[in-house]
Amino acid sequence: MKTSRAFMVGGAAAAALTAGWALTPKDSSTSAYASTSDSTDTSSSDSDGTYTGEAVQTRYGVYQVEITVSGGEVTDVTLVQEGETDHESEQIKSVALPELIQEVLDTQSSDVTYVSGASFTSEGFAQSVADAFDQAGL
Amino acid sequence: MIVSAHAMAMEFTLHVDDSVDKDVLATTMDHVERDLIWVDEVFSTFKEDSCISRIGRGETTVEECPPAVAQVLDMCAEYRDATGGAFDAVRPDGRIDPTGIVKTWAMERVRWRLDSLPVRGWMWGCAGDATVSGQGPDDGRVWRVGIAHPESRFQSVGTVVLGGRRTAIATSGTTIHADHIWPTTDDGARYVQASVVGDDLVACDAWATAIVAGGEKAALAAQEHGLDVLALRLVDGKVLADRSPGWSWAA
Repeated sequence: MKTSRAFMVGGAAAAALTAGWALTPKDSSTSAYASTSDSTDTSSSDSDGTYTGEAVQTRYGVYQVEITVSGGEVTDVTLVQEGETDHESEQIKSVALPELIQEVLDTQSSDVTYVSGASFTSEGFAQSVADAFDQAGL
Repeated sequence: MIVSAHAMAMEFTLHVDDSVDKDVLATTMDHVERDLIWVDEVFSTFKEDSCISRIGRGETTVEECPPAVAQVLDMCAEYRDATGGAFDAVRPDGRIDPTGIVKTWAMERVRWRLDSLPVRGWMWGCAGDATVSGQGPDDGRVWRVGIAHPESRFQSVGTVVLGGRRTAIATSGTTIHADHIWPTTDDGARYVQASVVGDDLVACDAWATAIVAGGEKAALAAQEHGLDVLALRLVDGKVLADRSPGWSWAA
């Protein structure tokens, strides 16, 4: 697959993508935040244990993470609460409306400058992770 | 080249052509970052002492806060009415939460700073939303933007072009995608992800959120506001798209 231009510009952009795209939390959490713990250069294991981050309310529900610290390093990050879609704000006025065209899409590789994708959870997730790290003293 | 600003626990990226004066760019980005940080301090629901948090606890009023607060809350009310309630900045518990729109509002708010850069054009993006000005780096002097697969954000399901009057794109999605099938119901189709293209990033953002919350009726209504829509469902592992007639895929 041809990578997009935005993906090939090195460290800064790679960080941007990690922050911006909010990979599915379960996939991204361990690697992304394990490396954060490395950079804190914590050698003591006083902070060993399990820490639960603040439960953060987002439009799509409540997010809360739990981190496990062993030997001063984060060894696991799990989501203990995952958001659910809010069905409470669904009323839409009914009006005479334009049309929608239906099609089936396949994944494709293409040369693009940017990728537009959803990432609403990033803030809530990042906040809960930050809180768990604070509690762990990392 | 790509430079970035950090605020709101996110990275904001600016794509400009390499000819830009590096000192001017650095100064501009410094101001941009300060603006974004200020917005975060005023609007963050995660910061205990932000205006929004203090209003939520009844410790202050909108009138006592900077005028930007009233401006954003008025805008939220307008989008709530325009979308029939599908975009709503009031949480079920009654607290005000404009988080869903503050990021793109803050991005549009610094547009004048970016437009003052001595460049042919720029793209300003954050967390999957982006707006452009002037000429782009791709063939035809446009920007090519991929639409992320709802379950796999490093893959795209198609490419659109920004440039001319189509200057903004926002994508919203639900957070639980895996094995989640959204059928068509009596109320119309429901979507896991919606992208909206238009000439105002805030409007695109509000409508993308509204379409995910409100389904097919919101996807249709957005078109009446001059926006182009791509709304995605997952059925049996396939990505099914509903798009407005004006939505055009790039080759």
